[in-house]
Amino acid sequence: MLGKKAYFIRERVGFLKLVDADDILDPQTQSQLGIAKEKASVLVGGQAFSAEALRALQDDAAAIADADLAERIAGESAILGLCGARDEAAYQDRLLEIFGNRTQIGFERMRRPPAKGPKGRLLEALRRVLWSLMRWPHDWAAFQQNAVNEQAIKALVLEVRLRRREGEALRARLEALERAAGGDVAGGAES
Amino acid sequence: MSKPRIDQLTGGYAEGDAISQEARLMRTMLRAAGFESDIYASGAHIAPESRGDALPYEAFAPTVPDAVIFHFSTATAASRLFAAVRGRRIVRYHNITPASFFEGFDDGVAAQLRMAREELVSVVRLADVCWSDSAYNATEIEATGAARSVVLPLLFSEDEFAGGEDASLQAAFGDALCNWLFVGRIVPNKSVEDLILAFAWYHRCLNPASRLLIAGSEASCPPYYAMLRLLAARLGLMNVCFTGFVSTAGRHTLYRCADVFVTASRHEGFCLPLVEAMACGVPVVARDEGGMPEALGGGGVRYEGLDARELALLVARVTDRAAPLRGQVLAAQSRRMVALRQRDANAEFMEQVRQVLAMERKTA
Repeated sequence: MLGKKAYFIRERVGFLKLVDADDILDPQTQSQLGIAKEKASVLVGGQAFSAEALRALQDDAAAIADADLAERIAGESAILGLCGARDEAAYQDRLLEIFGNRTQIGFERMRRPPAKGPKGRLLEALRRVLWSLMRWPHDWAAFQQNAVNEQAIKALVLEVRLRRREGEALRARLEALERAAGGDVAGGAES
Repeated sequence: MSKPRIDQLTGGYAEGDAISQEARLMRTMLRAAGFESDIYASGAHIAPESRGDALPYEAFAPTVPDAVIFHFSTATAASRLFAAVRGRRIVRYHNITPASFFEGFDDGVAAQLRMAREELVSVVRLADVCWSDSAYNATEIEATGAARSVVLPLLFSEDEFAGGEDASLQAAFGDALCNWLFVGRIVPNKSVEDLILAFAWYHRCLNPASRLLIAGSEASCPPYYAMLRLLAARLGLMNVCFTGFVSTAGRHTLYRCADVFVTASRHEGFCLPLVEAMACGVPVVARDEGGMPEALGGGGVRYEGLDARELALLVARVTDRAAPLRGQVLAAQSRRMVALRQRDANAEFMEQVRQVLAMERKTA
């Protein structure tokens, strides 16, 4: 890998942004040559954590498990991907795509904190009952809101498309005028 | 005989802004030392409540002052005014955010920042001296060819900062929840998304009785703010609170409510909120980047290369009042604050002013 003169470094976006890492690619073939990862370090009061202390922190962190959260973060990688938009138009396209896929208000995955002890279990049971009672008015409101969201996103996409088409038409017209005027319209009109 | 005059030029002027705060402090010191002194900023970027305290560029007479301090952090019309100054020219360098952070979010700002890098070279060429607020910034400005470069750490008045309380913020956040606090403009180089991800793990797996407070103006980059709001909402993090701009009194209240100050910022020239947090006795966890190690000066926790879960766990250890780590961090911060409180900023600043006024004026 080190025999090459040029490398292409691509920042990792999306849920992989959880780790500060970049892909090292072959500039010609775009094949992956390796991964560059920021070296981990922790300093407290100017003193660096020992290798053992840092390893212990990393091991303890790796043991933290929440499959639902990991899945949620991975599912929302497109949002973090906005950081990688090369310009405003690309950002807008990505944002509209995200909105287009997320018009629905849903409470299916609403999380109830885990209950501990008899009091906790009682509280959880009470929450379940309350949620069942609230379900009908909630679903009625969510149905209407989701319909509004969907139409609002469609209108937004249409608006962006119209503006872009308008911009392209104006640009084409300006270019045609410049050509007709001998290519010096932008230089300023003579009085 | 009229008094000598030293004026200051800034891009904008607002109450909670670090550069404005320093300019105000410098003006106070200059006036106390017998100078006439005013602050000039772009009229469009003077906050409504600060009009009158700072004057618009149109009122600036470049031929009058004996010296001008130009606070440089972005491209503004002030560069042209600075070039017309007849007295000594001082560049106060606060760093320029790399344009790449803004690409996609705001191409206009990205272009302005690229222009600022170009403008800096010509501004430095005109300057008699460059004062950087950190050694990190001094390295950058020396690379542009500064003839005379001095490190003058950002001036900070604890007395000015300590005053006032915001009762509504106290009522909203002064409860028993463990508060993570971030203070700063909501802009892409601050990597607030990394904070949200780390907080997600902390809140879900380590301490559900917790809250992330993000205090700062979102006006500088609305598309980035939109991304953050969307991320927090989609991850179901109801306890991520964006407070918007907060006044000095409000910031003071938030520090008092905070259990820890956390920043994942990837670019800072200095980062005054770190000093403010330490002054309020709040443990700090900050990415080891830019001028932040200098602002911390041996205090706080600095990290790099940690993923979201590792950062969450590190913060959990700092917020644990029974854990030895919190005590170590606070002890180191106390030592740092003792050193900062012993600093005679007034004497340091006035000595630099005297040296500049005694210098032969540079011919452009």
